[in-house]
This record gives sequence, structure tokens and C-alpha cells, in this order.
Amino acid sequence: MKNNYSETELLFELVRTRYGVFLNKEQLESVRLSINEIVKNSEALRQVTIENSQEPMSLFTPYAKRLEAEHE
Amino acid sequence: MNNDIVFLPIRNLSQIIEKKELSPVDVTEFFLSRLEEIGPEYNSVVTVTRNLALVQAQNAEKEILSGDYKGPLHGIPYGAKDLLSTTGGIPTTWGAELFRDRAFDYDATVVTKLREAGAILAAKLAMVELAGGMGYTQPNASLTGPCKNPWGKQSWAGGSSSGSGSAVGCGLVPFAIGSETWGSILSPASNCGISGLRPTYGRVSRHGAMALSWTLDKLGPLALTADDCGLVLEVISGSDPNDPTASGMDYSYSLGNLQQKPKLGILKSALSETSKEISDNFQASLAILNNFADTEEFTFPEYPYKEVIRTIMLGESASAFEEITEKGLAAELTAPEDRFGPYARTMVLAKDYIKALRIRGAIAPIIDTIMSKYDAIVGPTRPTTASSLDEEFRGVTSGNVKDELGAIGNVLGLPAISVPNGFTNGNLPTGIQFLGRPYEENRIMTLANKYQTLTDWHTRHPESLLEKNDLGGESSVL
Repeated sequence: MKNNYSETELLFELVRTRYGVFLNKEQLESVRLSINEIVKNSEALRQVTIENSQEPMSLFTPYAKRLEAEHE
Repeated sequence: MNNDIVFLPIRNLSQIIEKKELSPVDVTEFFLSRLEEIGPEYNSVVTVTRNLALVQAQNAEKEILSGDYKGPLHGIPYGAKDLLSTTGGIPTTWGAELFRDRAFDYDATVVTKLREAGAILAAKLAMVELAGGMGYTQPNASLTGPCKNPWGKQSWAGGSSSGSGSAVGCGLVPFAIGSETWGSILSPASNCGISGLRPTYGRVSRHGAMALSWTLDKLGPLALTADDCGLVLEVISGSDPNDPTASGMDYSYSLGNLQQKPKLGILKSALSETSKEISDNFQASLAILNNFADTEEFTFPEYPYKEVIRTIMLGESASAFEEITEKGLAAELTAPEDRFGPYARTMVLAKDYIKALRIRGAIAPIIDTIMSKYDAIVGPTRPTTASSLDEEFRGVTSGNVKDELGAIGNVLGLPAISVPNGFTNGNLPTGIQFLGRPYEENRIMTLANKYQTLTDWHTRHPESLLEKNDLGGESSVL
């Protein structure tokens, strides 16, 4: 089913629900524009095709207290 | 004591101190006076750490007199961007009114390393609130007000390491520590007419530094010369059990010799993005570089570099500043646009954040293969000159910001150094950057140093700041 809301509007409604109490009307409008930029960013990322095996480039090292002690 | 030591590079000042011709206490008193007198005029300083500095200077004096000289930073005062934690009740404000009186009970690793090398913490320096992470779009975004440019108080010092750039450019400290997530060392270095080094990601421990974006944040020096940046990097680099991303690779600063003609790449798009004055100065720089290097234009393959770095920065900062967001504390920030800045980014989807990290992994070897053909990539540090204090600019978190080298360099954690390369018609400095492959700081500093031996831009300083703070002697510089 296709609804009438754009991705930006759906995300904006979520922000307004969560944080609207902190924001006035003018600020909310600026938030809407910022969300639209984020959606555009995401669309650009989704157009990049990469292999399933391509892992995220981020560091993760299993933690063990004894290894910490050895390192020190 | 007179003004002879203002704008004296660490390399020279340290020799005078080592020879015991100048006491670290006198040097420190001199710079403290400048910080206290001139700093407020430029909104460069958050806290002058006078008491701590004098204790450290007295210790340095005793050590040097007893023959225990620790190296070129021994007895040299410096300033730290106010996102580096410090003990002793010294506030660490992150540039935000929210944290005006907040103090930590531990020192950042960088602060500890500098203390152990005998450097003297003289000031915590101004910065854009939360390192610009809320998306500021004009200079008045700090609890200390807009930080002013040493070359004109109507112009901005750059950000987010604003005070680090301004304080070095004003001759308030011989060097400073800044941080960069995307542009925050290179921009103030270029705006203020000084040298600034963004080290490889992980080269310098981030422990004790405010986190904006864990996989993008880097700490590095701002100083008068590329050579000085190397002297500081040697001290602050290295592994740290408190920062798992800090590289264990040994680093020692040395300038290489350029027996073979280096090859420099010029990113075509970087030239098309710039204003005419920036472009003219860069072309003049190329003429200098062509005396000892070959240059070649090239392009990087099409990828959404800016979208990748933005998604990572927005996603990570949404988590880093979750408390500020959830409690509505952004309302207390200085810049009106920062007061709503944190909310939209809570909508960065986990899938898209992970995709950005995966693209980062995919493009890293592609970019490295291209960069392996060159000793460095060179380009204008910034596409435009320093903004006016009342001028709005495009924030890096949105829109078509012009900084492909900055986006690629930061998302892949590549080192870069900016050094001065001229002035605009309005007498504002411009900069040239040398971008290198990971862990090749020495190579880019060798090239920048060679450039500085053939130019004198780094020896030029604002006349008005040479005349200030005459403490009894003649006003001149060595």
C-alpha cells in the first residue's frame, strides 16, 4: 500500500512526536529541512552497490580483562 | 624581556631555553600576559591557567638548570582546545554555556604527554560549542563569542578549533592543540595564517577529549611552521590503553630529504570549487612547488564522499550528545541554529549508518591506490577566505559544501597539513594543504617544510600584534 507521506514527512512526524516539546514552530520547520537533507544523504548511499562481504570499517575488539592486564 | 620571542618558532625558542639564555618562567610570564591582555580582544581564550602554568614553568626551570632537559617542548607554553579534559579544577567547557563551570578529575592523554615532555599548559582555548557538532552556520556559536581573526577583528578565526588558531596567530602561545572531525584544524590554520596538522586517525589518543564522532575525531597541533607541528606530533602521538583506536605504530618526527623529485597530485574538482583569490594564490604556490616537484592533475572516482562522512558524523554525534537531545538542553546553546541542530539527526537510520561505514571500507583501498602514485595531494585548504563575523556560511552537515579533499581525507583518516600561501586583497591569509596516505605525516611535513623554506608567508604576522605587550624592551622580532 502506498501512502501519501514522503520519507521526510514520516521521519519529521516522529521527531515532532518525540521532541516537539523542545521546539517552536520556526525551529520545527528548520528540523524538517534538515531531515530532508538526511534523506537525500541516505538516498545517495543506497545507490552505491557493494559486495555482501564488504564489512563496515569500524573497530571492534572482544574485551577480556586478562588481555587488558597483559596490554598494560 | 621584550617582544623578541613573539612569533618565534618552537624550534628556535627551544634552543634558547636549552642554552639557559631564557628562563621558562620568564617565557611563561610573557605569554600569560599576552593571553590575559590580548586574548579577550579576540575571544581566543576560555581560561588562562596562570597558577598551573607558573608551577609547571618553575619545575621546568629547575629541571633544565639541573641538566635534565627533556626536549624541544620543555619550558614551552601552549594552549589546549577546551574540549581536552584537565584536572585541578580548571573548567573544560566544550565551548558551551551548558558546561561553563564543569571540571574533570582526569587529564586528557594529550595533556599528560605534553606535561611529561615539559610543555606548560598556559590556557584552555576557545572553540565552537560542542566542536560544531550541532550544525552551526555562523561564527557566533561559542560561550566566548565569535573568535576573531588575528588579521582583522571583523573576520572569523575559523572553526571549530577557533581559539587554537587565533591564539597562535596572535602570538599568545607558541603552539596549540586542536581537534578535527571535518575541517576543524585545517580551517582555522588557513584563516589565521599559521600551520596546522591533522594527523592520521588514531595517531594521537583521543582519551579525555570530547567525542563528537568516534571514528572521525582527530587531535593535532597548530603552530607557526610545519616543522613545529612535527615537534609537537612526536610528543603527543603513540598508543594509549585508554583509547583502543590509538595506533601502536612507533612515530618519530624527521624531515626526509628530497633527493628524488616528488610527484604531487592536484584534484581537479578542488580547483573548480575555489574563489579567484584562492585560486590565484594556489597557482602561485604551484609555481613554487614546481621548482622541486612534478605536479599532475587527477580525479577521484565518483562516490558520495560527503554523504558518507555526513551520515557517519550525524549518526555518531546523535549518540554522543544523546543526553543533550533527550533533555532539551540544546536550548541553552549560543547559536540559534544549534538549539534545534541535534533533533533531525536522531533520524539517521542504523542501516544507513552501517552502509556509510561499509562504503568507507570499500573506497579506502581505491583511494589509497590512487594516492600511492603521488607523494602527496595538494590543494587549497579552503575554497573561500575567512568569513565576516556576521556572515552566514554553509555548514558541513548539509547542502553542497565544497570540500571534497576534506571529506575524503577525514572519512578515511588521512593526514593533512595546511600552511600559509598568501593573502587576499583584503589582507586575509590563505592556505595550501598537503594530503598524505595514512601514517605518512613525515612525508607531507617534509613537503610543507620545503615549501616554507622557499616562501615567507609563515614569517608574516599582524603589525598590531607585534607592538602589543611590550614588557620593557624594544619591540622587534627575531
